[in-house]
Amino acid sequence: MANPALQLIKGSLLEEERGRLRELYEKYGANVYGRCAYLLKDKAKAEDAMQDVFAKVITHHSGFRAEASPLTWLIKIATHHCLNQLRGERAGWRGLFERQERSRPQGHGGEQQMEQREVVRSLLARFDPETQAAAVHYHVDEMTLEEVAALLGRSVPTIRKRLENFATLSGQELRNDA
Amino acid sequence: MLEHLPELKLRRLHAGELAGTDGSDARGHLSGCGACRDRLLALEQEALRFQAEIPFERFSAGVQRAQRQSRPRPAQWLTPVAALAAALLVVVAVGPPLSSRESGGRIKGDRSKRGAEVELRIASPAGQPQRQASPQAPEVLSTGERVRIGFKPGEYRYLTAVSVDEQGVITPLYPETGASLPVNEDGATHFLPGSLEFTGQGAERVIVVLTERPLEVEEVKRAARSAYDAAHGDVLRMPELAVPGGQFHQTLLKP
Repeated sequence: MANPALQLIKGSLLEEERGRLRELYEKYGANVYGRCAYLLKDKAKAEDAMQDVFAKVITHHSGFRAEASPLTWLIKIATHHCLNQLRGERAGWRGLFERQERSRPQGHGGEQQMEQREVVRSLLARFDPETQAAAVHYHVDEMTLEEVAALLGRSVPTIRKRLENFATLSGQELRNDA
Repeated sequence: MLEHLPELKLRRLHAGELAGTDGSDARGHLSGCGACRDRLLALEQEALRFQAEIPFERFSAGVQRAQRQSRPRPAQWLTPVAALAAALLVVVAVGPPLSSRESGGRIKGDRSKRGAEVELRIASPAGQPQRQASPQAPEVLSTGERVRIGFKPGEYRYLTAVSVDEQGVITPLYPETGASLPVNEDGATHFLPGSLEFTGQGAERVIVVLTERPLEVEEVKRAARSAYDAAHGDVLRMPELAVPGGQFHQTLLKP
């Protein structure tokens, strides 16, 4: 009797996971990589960080799918991951920002927006983790105070206070988003 | 007030996430705003640059590698500990010899229980001299270094240890499931069985809880989750867990 031929079973876990990963790559890869590159200012580190973020997505895929805005969730995770990584590198990041202050900014919103992104980034090391995350989401992602507060699970007054502290150093005034 | 579409909204539109009124408002704005159309075009170009720089196969391989590195901790421990769950802990005679201890980490929490101490002992794979993690600062680990948890229970009778990484993954260390391990005080420092290798990157906080009565591991995990949330995910700033007894915290910075 002949051996049965090997069959490719459609919908196998491996195939499904690969399809999911490709969709994530095409839809969100550039966004996550962009955030990691913006904060880490190092292509290799940004790629590693991006991979870590997507590994987390694959692991917690059901939660990811339940998000109202998967992109917002991904940007939050990527920001958090990179800020943590920079804190882990401790002494490195303050000097890194100063050394690379003149490097070409990565942004797409015209000169003024790129300048703002760089000012925000160069000041992050002087603030606590929550203020860092709030400043990035507010000034770089241009989320409203309410959106930042909801994303970080804090009250609007708390986030406003954090951003006002940030504004004293950065000169970035709070917008009137009402 | 922003006169253009906010950055994240534009990105969501590009990713096909904006539907309903939000989507139609955004598209309405785009039809009359050349600057925002340019920004949307720039997002297209950004995506193309990204895909040229990091092709899917490379991306996929990297994500799978990252997944392997961040698998739940039990598979990463070098010595299985589950079988020890119900056992009374004794001094462990395996592994590299331990040099004399310096000052151990003091237990915080219930101040009336004096005499309890915890320390983390770190050994390199190359057999270099062991060192004790300083309780005053995060301990930087090098590749391949292993950690052992030493303790002197004082008047406490039960021990539970968990770790929390910066992604918020909480891993029960000793025991892995069930209730705390019973421990005995005999004036000596005891070491938990096995050495631990922390894989992945970033910071990870080890928390050892000593109590008079046994705690369920799940109770300690829940308290660790609350503390992680209270610190907004910064494991370097986590408060004490809301559990009875005394506790020891040490943050490790993984290579």
